[in-house]
Amino acid sequence: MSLRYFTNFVLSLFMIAILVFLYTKVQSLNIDDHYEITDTLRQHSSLNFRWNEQVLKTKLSLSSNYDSVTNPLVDLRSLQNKLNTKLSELSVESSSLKESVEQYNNSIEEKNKLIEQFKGQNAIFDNSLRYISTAIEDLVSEIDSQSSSNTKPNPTFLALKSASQTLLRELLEFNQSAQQNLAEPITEQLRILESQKKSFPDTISVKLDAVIRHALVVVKRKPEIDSLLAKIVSLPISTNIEKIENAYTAVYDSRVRDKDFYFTTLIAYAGVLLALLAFIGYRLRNSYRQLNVLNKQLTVANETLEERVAQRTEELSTAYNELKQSQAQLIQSEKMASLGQMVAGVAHEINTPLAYCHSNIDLVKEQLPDIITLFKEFANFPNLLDAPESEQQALKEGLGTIQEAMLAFEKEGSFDEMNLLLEGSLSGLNQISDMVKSLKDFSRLDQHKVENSDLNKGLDSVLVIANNVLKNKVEIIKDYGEIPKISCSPSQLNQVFLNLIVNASQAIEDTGTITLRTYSTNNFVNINIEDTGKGIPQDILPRIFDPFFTTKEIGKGTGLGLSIAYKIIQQHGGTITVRSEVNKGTQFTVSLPVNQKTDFKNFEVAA
Amino acid sequence: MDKKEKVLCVDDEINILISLRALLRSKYEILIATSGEEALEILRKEPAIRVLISDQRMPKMLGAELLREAKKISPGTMRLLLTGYSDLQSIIDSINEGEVFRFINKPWNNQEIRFIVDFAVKVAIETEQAVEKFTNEASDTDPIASASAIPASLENQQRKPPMMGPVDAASVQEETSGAGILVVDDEEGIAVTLQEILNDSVPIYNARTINEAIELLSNHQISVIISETQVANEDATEFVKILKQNYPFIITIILTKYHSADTMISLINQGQIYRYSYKPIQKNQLGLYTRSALARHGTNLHKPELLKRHQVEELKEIQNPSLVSKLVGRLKSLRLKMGF
Repeated sequence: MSLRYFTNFVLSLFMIAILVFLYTKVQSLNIDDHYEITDTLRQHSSLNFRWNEQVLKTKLSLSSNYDSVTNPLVDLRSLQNKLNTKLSELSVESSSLKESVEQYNNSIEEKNKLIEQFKGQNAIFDNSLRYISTAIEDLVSEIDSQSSSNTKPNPTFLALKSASQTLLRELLEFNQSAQQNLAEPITEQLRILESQKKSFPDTISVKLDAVIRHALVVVKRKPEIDSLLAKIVSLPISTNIEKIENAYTAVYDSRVRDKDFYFTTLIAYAGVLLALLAFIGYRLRNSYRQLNVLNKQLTVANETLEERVAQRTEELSTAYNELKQSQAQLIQSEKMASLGQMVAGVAHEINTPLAYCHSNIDLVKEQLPDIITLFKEFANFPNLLDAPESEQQALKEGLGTIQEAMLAFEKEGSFDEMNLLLEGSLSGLNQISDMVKSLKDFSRLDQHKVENSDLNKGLDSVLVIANNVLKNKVEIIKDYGEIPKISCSPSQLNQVFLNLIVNASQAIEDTGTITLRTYSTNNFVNINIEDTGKGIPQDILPRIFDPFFTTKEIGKGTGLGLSIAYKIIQQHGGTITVRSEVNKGTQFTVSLPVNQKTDFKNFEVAA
Repeated sequence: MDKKEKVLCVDDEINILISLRALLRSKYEILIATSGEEALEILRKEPAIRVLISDQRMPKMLGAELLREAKKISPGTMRLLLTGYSDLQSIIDSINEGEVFRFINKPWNNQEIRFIVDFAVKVAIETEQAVEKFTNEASDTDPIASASAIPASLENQQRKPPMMGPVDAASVQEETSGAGILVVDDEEGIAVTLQEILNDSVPIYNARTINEAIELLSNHQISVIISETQVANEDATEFVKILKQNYPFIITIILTKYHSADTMISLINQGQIYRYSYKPIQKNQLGLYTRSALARHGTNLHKPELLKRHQVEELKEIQNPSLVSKLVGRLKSLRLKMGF
């Protein structure tokens, strides 16, 4: 039962875990993140664009402030950080995304580096470019001052003035166009001016020298800056951003697909769960219905329970009464059995003397008519003596007849026999009267409790009763001691002694002896009945006083004899003990107190 | 005056012996013994003891036992048993093993006992003469028969277990050929078992009522009747007794569920039943009894004089007179069939 509950619990936990798992999978795609990422990418794109613009502006000197060049980088850096954090988890999933992010980062670094270079170069270049016009103005003003002092215009001075003014124009042109072919003539011009420099007065040559230097810087640096700018602009940042976008989109799409899959699964799973729930619900409803039915039955049963309990109690008490009755019947039948045994024995004992008494008296009676005749003859004799002579002959004949008859009696031993028969009959009648006396002693039907009962006499009467089973089989040895008379129920004690003596005789298989010993000890009278029978095995010895315990065949004994004996002795305040040895014999000892305090009222129950 | 015939009385109670002697001594020479062993000793020594009267309950050897042994030692002696209070088994034993002629109930009636003893002595003398005639006529030289004054040749047949050898079996077949066995029982069991035992060598008829039994008796030759004491709520013992009285050739075996000492005693005294057993009976025991009964019947047919040894008392009270008339009415045809 508990295992089943445990399994169910684990199963439900498992199902909930699946549900939670699917739900997290569906929820894992954060649309805000997605928008933020795409927005950031777009910002990157625009910022990069603006940056390039700023760089180009700088180049065109539209802006002499470098802040406009570096500011986008700051913004870009923060955006880059944001992007990196956002994409770092995703990069794990997609190598192409990781690669593109790395490339992008590298390109940003590269651009930054290039811009730093540009800034350095451009500062020098810008300075020279700005200064060149001032230097040329200084030179021109110097030339003009020199010319005015001389009043007479110096041609060389004028040439220089125009040349420097041409140079300024050419340089500005060069800067604007940034065409390399324009650099050659400028460089040529500068070489000419350099060569001419010594020919001018020092004041002019110094100024010229400054012009030449700055011009050279402009010419030399210009292509470098241009190449830097070109490099900056050509950096594949936007491409990289695009790549990131593509990779990200791929990742995102796969995520969306996953989400869709999990979503479908979740729906299907939810459907299954719902079906399961419905099934369980159905089952639950069914069990509830059954429960309801059972509940109703239980209610009904509860209602009838009392009635049934009462009925059962009634049945039980009836059964108990029947049992009590049948127990009483059994005890009665045990009594009847021992009584039957006793009656049968006594009947046989009486039957034999009765038979010969009857026969003898019949025989004597048969001879009585002859004797009567004889007496009559004798009675008639005096008359014959007085008779006349003529009848003397008849007298003689009569005498002869009497003599003959008497001789015949004598000869046949009839007188002796008659005596014998009558003596036999008397002894038979004595036997019968002894028997009846013993019966009376045995049963003591006239009284229940007797004050002065001689147990030795009781045992003798039991022996007469039991003679039928003992005769020809058992030798009785009487070892009676002087025992005080006790108050008891003799008929019940005799029943006990008969039971023990009959048992002893039954234990003797062929022939043997039963010793009856009586003696007194310490206010107790003891009766010891010992046989030389087969004995009682140790394992059944403790059970012999149990009611219904018997080793006899079914129908041969009730198994109540010894239990009743036990009860009778107990009610007399005495004890009954047994000692036995297999194949040696058994010894029962009954000890009864001389002074009885027992109430005899309930004796009928046992006996 | 003729020499008195000898009667042996056995009882452990001397007063009984005194009475019996006083009762019978005017006509017979009374020998007495106070125990079975003593009685057997006398039987061995004294020839021509006509009647043995024994008490059933005696120390060491019971009356039934004495009868069984006496039958072996002196088969010509008629055996009477005094019964007072006896257990059923000892009565059955004296029927089956002792082949008792009469039971005498204690206390007895003097006239009755004289009548029984007179009758038994008469039967003993007559059968002895018959046997002597046979032994002289036939070339039967059985050593026991010639050694004993009362030849045992005929009794011998029953003494030996009938199934001893093929010779016995064959003689049984020969002697009883034609005549069948009638089972009077409202249950089939015995007839079926018999069929198995005898293998159809002897016809077996099963009657479920007394009327059926009479019907079968008038239509078939019957040598042995195996009967219950109660058949279809009718008392069958009277039927058995009347039949034996009127037709002494029939051998009766009683197989019954009902146990009564009085019934057994009356079945012997008035029905001279051959064997008595409780049901259920073991198969081989039934076979033994039946074959022995068939052999006895054969003996009776050959030596009808011996039938006297199984003569019955007259029925004093007849419970069912119509049964008697019915039976007697059929008797003539029956006798013809049996070659009587």
